[in-house]
Amino acid sequence: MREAILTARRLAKTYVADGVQTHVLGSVDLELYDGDFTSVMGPSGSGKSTLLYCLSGMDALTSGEVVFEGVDIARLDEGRLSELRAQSFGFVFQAANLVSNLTLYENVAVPGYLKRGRSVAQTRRVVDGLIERMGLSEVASHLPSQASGGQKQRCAVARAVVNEPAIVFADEPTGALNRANSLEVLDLLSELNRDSISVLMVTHDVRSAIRGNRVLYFEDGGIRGELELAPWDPSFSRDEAYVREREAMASAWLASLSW
Amino acid sequence: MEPLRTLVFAGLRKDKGTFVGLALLLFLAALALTLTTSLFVDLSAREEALLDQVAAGDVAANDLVSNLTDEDVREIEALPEVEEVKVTEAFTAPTRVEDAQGNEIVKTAPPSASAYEAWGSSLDFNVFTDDLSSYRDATSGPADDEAYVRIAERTLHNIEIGDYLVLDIGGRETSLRIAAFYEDPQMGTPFMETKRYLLSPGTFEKLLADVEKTGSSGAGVASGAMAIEKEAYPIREINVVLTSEALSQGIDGRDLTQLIDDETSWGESAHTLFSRQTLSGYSLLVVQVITAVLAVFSLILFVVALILCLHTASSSIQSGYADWGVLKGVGLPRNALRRALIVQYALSALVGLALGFIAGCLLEPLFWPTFLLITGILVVEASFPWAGICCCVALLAALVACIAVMARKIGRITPLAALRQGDGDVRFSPRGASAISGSRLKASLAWRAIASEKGRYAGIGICSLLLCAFVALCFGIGGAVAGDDAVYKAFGVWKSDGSVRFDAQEVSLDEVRETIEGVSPITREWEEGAAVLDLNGEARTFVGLSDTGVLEEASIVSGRAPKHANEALIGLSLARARGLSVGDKLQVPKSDGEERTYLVSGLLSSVLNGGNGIVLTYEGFQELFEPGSEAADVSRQYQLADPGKADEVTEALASRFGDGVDTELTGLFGSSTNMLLLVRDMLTTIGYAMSAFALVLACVAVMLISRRTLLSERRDMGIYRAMGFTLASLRTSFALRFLGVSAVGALIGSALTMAAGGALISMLFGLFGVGAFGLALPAWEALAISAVFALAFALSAFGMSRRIKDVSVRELVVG
Repeated sequence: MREAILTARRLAKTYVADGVQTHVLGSVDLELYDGDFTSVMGPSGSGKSTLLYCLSGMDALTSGEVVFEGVDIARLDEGRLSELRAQSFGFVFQAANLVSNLTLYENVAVPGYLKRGRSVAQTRRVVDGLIERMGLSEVASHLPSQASGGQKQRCAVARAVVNEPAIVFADEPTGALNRANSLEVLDLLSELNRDSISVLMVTHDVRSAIRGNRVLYFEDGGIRGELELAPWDPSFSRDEAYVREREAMASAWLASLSW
Repeated sequence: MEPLRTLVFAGLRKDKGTFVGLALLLFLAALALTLTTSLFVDLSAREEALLDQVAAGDVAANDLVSNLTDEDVREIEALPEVEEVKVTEAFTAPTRVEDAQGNEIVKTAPPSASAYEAWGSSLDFNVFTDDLSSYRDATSGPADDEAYVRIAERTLHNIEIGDYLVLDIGGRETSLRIAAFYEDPQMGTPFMETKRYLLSPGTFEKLLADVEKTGSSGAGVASGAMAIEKEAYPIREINVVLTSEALSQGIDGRDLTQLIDDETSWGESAHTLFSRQTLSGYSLLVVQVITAVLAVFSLILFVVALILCLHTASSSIQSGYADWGVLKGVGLPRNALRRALIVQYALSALVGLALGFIAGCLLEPLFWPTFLLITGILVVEASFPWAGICCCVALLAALVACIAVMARKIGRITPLAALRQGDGDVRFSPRGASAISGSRLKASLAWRAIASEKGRYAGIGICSLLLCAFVALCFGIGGAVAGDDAVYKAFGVWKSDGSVRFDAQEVSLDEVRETIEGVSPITREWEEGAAVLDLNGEARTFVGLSDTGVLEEASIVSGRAPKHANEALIGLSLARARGLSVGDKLQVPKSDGEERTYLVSGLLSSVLNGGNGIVLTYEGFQELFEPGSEAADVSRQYQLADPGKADEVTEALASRFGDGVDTELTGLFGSSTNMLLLVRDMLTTIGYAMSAFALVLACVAVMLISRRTLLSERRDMGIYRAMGFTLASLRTSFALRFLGVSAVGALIGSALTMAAGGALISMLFGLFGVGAFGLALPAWEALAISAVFALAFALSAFGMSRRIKDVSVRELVVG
């Protein structure tokens, strides 16, 4: 029996613009399990990103609840939500979204300094380790404008995990990258997951989605299907047969869902 | 043209808040500049027009009838440069003012401070309507037993129509009802000691006959000097007109005073000889000071607006990098984009400046009545505001030029910027910034933001510097003149708590002293003589002091007070005009033609005679003016241990000696008190009002700049929030940037004011003769002002940063 780390119940989100209501999420029930790598797929406009932001407390719910560590985060005030983001959640976006006047090192270190119970020296050691692990040592003192797209996104991943979060939320993390850089970022996320960090990733790409051991198909504001896969083995990341096998399974499953 | 129009209006729509703020700042700058320049131009033009209208000529003078004889007049008329000499018979008399119920409003002034003339006998003055808003259409002059007085009496003493002048002629008092105020372009300002009163011809003839019956010639002190004595006596006033030929040769009133002084026998002994330029200068003295102060403030406003412009343009270019790149990508030439940016700012500035200019023109007439009270002249029609237009055009040109330089950045943006999600080709360079260590994180992030955008934050620092320096200057001036004693010191006048003049044969000095000390101990007393004498064509005030130690209270800027009879302490204006310094010799012609030579012992920064006064020892003064033996010519001044009991002392003396002791403040003290208090009130009111305005301005400017900064950093703020930074910590860090930069600017501004503010104000107050004005700005006050400014900047930024909460992390989804 896997332990749920995040639970959404009857989660709904409606936008109102010019008096017109748009129901993006309609009563979603979902449990994310500790140590899982969950991928969410679905067509554009299906509400995948909205689901991710509602689950992570980035966006307010219209109704329902999202429980993390026994607390409904939808009812937390701004200060507690900030605390949650700083201590327990990490984020990777489609764009790297690095602070433009901080170096790559500082972009990782600055949120790291927010970690409770960790000294500045300890944080620096963690950051040094992450920078090295992400292959950013040579460009650590560069500004984002001086780094490549892949370097920036790797930096964003390092930033997401610098505080050893319980869950990393990734929204199309490879959407703006070329194939080589995409693989690098996905490998990093897989390695982090192997280090028991839970990952929730929204993606269009089947090759990205199969990094998860659990793939959700999302459409019209609700979960329409779920595929269980064996956990990704990082040692086979460059094994084309391994990848194709998982990809075939996922494609067949998606086809059964008419996608 | 159409793309330009579309881009311009799209830009204005996008940043309408900023453009409205910019227009508001320029509106205020244009308003203040238009108002001050128009007032200065119109008042100056009006003064000149009135001097022409009343046919005042180029030199005005008065003297005892026995001194200025018909032969003297003919001698002046004989000068080839002189077209005409208008002679007006007049008399002077000890005068006090009472209201209709007989209550004393103004104590008896010495006779030399008044000149009674018959209406229509010389100059053709305008008479104000009762509400002072315009002139009476036609007037036949005052009725019998009535008088017209200059408007300055209302300013100084709040005299109203219906009050009474009470003249003492040979011991007999005559009351004249004040029927109207008239406009005197020669002696109308409160800063001119001599008051001209206009009477009906009948009343004048009658009173002149009474004066002549007393037999007093006014020559009690010395021939050639205007006496300070109690009797009425006849005087003669002349107005000398230059020929048109002389005027065309560039000869003016100042040259004519010198000619009269050099080439006529009367000129050698003339004591109240004023050029047209000197009289005009006295009249507009305060206008010049106020104009200078307001002009400085207007320019500060403009600098703030300019910095806001540059800040906005810079951040607009940065935040719109992708848009500019896309526009270039679709084929718009960079010059078109630059033009669009420039036109946006030019349009906004034009609207603000135009509205400010119009408002300045419309408001100007509202200030005419106020300046009437100060200058004595009423502007009735505004001239075309060329000066205001020139100022506004210059401001617009400067602003457009700066934006044009800033817009060159657009040329560096390539169409590739659009593909990089707006990341520019040239981005921030944090060189010199220290690494973010983790300790004091908010401060570190604030410092990094400043280091990343040095130019922009330097602009904020400059705003803070200028505004704080200005406010510190206002407080420094305010502190220097606050309080009755301080204002004396600031303007270089020693203080007397009371004057006594008495006949030594009737009252003994010991009795007087005993009476005074019965009320309050005397801390210092001295004999003081004051007289006016012509020195190279201009009237100069000479003061003799038996205890020159009293000058320690005044502002001796170099050298020392005179100790010997052949030493003189001279005003800074006189020293500058004649190139004199300590140790030089000053030649003073005596009435008998001999010259007395004085060694300049020191220089005095003082309003005494507009900086042209000369202080001698009492012995030196007596040698120059050869005093008679009458005790009435002796003026004793005293300072009390308790200055607040001065009125009580006066009452005690009056009670014991009656008319035997004259307790009116004499000489410098009689004429300067009201003027100094008026100047003090004007300076403090204007200064503190503008300080408050400057603080509000600082807040508005910071809010506008903060708003723009937040817009350009919106994405970064979103990222910080996604990282887990709280709204409060981001706001604090944001405010810290402004706190740090403005604190540095404010401290530099205050320090500059402390270091150089006194010299700056001394240049301005040099017009009064106070060439060495010391600001009273203690370090703690400068620090407090700096702290207030830094806090105002920080709080404004903190307040505006609440907008960070509107930043949605969803915005990061699409970068």
